[in-house]
Amino acid sequence: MSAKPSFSLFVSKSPYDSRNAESAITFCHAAIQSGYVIKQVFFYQSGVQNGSDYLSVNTDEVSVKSRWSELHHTHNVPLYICVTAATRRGILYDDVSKGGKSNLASDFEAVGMSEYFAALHDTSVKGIQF
Amino acid sequence: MNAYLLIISTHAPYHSSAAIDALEAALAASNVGLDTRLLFQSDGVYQLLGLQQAETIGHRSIYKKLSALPLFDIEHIYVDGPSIDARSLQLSQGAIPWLELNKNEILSLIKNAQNILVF
Repeated sequence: MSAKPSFSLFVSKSPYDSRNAESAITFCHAAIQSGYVIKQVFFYQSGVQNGSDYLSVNTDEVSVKSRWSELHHTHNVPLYICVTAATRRGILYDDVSKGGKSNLASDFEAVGMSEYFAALHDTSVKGIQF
Repeated sequence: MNAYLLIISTHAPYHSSAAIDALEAALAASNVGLDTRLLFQSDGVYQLLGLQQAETIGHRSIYKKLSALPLFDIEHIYVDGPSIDARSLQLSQGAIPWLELNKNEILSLIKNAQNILVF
């Protein structure tokens, strides 16, 4: 059981077709600032597009990719991507060192859906969907 | 009351991947031992029409996939009554053991859920 109240986020929209991803990032920072723990951010449906290593925006635009990366590195928030939903949408993860192909950004980890649901056994963890 | 995860499926079966995404999420949640309940609402109620000829558009019937839910320990399946009425549908209990709920019952189903996902 986790002593501190904590959140698991479920992001199901792509980064630039809606504001959901940006709202999720803002929520994470506000929650952390208020003393909560973000257990994980899980990406499903077209939310998996957040994990594309090919995301690139003009210099005067918000880079969702950089903001996820900053959240991951500054606060150790795991960024999990549903491997089935990602593969369906052309986000691939294979071990590059063994000759595989990957376009998953390095801060993201490809996992099964059970990674998100298993965390909900701890009832102090609140799941929030964006 | 036991803590349960409520998955709300609100999309018609073949217009997008939402219906399948909801089903796969429900199966994954049940697979790790979460008490998982499913509610069909809005256009999601079309998934429960028994006469789906998905093969004519090159798909597999979602109705048949939903019929297997009890085998995966998902036994609480609910349908939003007002959504059925608004679409003038005549849904009959077939292979999927669902229960029709009224507005107030749905409010308490949502209120008592530990976690909710909407697809």
